[in-house]
Amino acid sequence: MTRDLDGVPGGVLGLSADLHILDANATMGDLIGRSPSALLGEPLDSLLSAPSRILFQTHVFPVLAAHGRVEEVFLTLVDATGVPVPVLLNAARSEGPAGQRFDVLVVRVLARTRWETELLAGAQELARERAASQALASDLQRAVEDLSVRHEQEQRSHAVRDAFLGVLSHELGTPITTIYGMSQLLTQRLPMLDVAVATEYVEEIHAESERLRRLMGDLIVLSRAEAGSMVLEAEPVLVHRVVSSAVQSERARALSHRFIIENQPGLPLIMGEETYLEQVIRNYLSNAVKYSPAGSTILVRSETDAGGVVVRVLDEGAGLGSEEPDRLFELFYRAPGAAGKAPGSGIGLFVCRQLIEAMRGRTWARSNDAPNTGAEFGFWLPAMADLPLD
Amino acid sequence: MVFAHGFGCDQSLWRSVAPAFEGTHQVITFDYVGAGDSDRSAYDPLRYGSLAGYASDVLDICRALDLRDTILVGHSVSATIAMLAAIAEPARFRDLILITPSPRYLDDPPGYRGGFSRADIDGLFGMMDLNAMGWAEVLAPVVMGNPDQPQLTRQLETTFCSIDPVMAREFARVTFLGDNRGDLAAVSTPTLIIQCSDDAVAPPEVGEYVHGHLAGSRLTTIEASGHCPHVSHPVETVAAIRAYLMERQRDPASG
Repeated sequence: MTRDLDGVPGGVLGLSADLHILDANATMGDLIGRSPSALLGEPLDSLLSAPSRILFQTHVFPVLAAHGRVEEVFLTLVDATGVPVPVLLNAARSEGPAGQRFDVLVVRVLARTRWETELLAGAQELARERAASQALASDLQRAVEDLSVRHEQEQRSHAVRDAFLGVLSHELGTPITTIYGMSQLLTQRLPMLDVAVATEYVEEIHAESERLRRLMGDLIVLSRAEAGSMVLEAEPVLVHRVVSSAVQSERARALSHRFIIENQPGLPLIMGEETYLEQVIRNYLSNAVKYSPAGSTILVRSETDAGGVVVRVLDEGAGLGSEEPDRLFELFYRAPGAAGKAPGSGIGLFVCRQLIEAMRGRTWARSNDAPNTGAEFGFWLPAMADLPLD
Repeated sequence: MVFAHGFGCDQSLWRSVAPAFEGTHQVITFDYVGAGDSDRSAYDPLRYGSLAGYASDVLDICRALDLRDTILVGHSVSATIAMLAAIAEPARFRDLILITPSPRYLDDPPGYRGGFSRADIDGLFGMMDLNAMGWAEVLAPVVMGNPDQPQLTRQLETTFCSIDPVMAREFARVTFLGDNRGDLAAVSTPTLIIQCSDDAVAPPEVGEYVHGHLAGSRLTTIEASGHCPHVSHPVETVAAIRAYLMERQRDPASG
């Protein structure tokens, strides 16, 4: 190193192509508390802290080799007593008489590094806080969304309660009015009444009582479903027997319609609760009666299918129209066309689905393929052998 | 022949080595996501939260180009990535060439000396932060908010090579805090290890360790100081790879 460079206020190093020190000025020696001559022949690595060695080898040297220069690299040297000396480093490649070499300039950045470290820590803290407040904001957003979902649910349940009250007043009110009126007539005028007329009144009272009894049955299932306690007894059930019993009782009520039963021989047993299965079939049947013209036929077909038993109730009414079949099974749902055509609570089909699903089956409704050739309401229940043992 | 670059730079570092094989091999070099001209929008913090994500990148490249009988050359952390790729799909690779590999940079006393303590590695992260990587993270939102200042982004990214500073920090984390010693025994691909006689990042004893635990591997030591022999000593590096490949050609069972 020439004497001129010794006075330069910055460390100057010359390095061989394989990064060994060829020369060093006096300032370089002062920076690390070593004599410049003692540095000659040493590898550059011996002046660098461990992190700096990695950074130099992985980041600085490749750039220096590729582009011929690096600027403003922050590194730490280690002085003779092991104390780190933070520096900024510039380096450039040059061709010397003995081949390639690197000229390096280092400047100590003690105070600046302290400020920068603090500033960076502050900035990183700020960035973290910003991220935290963003997280908080999105939490808040989520809470607001939750709240609005809950609000919607509450509104829905209010709507359900209103529908329920409407149904109760209508579905209970009509039969009670009839029963009350007919029984009053009978009480006041029985001696004057023709036997045939009196019998008609009694039959009317009986029919309306039966309607109330069924509604009661549906309401009990509904309240259990709403309470989430739909667990049924599981006993072996012969489906065709239940079908036949349900059809018999419905036939007595609906003399206007013809009922036909078609059972595939050898239907497997299913597991369920007979009373509730009959309730489902009767709901299907009374539905079919309501929505198909007098004089038409209602067919109940039972067959084996997909490891279980399928029961279909087919009528000759107008079918479902453009109605989404699944909506019919919603609680208190009444098809727009149905409300004017026949009385109904919007509970029956919902109850059917709850009961069949509690017996691990499924329910459906569909129109027959040709328009105005009726609707099909069906359910499927797994055969006994296919049920997992539990 | 696929050349996978190490931590700290991009595929440009293969410039003095890869072309030497173009006469005899199909030569492929690439940048990991976040380095070089890669599409940075493809960066997925979850995928690149471990070296396995980088190994998947290597396999994706091999699949996309339908490469077979592949010689996979990996430098530094890419030596580990190459091992992970070869363990995942051994049938695809004929040879691995691991340049200055280290399966673990941290010391694990008393049996293992990787060369660095946890404090050293934390020091490296701090130093990377002060060399723009930390500032980049802090300033990124500011930069994003100022689309009319693209030079700020570029300046941050070009401080070193052309690595995205934020991705570089994560790459440093998975590289220097990982421990892949357990994977060595699972490598069944014939392997050449090239180390430098004086390497501050992957000391010779680490190369010996890899050689000792990677069954049937060869070890070649280049008389050189530094961690990037393919940059500092390209002629010797090419010669070492050629000698190994010729020997494998003469006696395919060796390796």
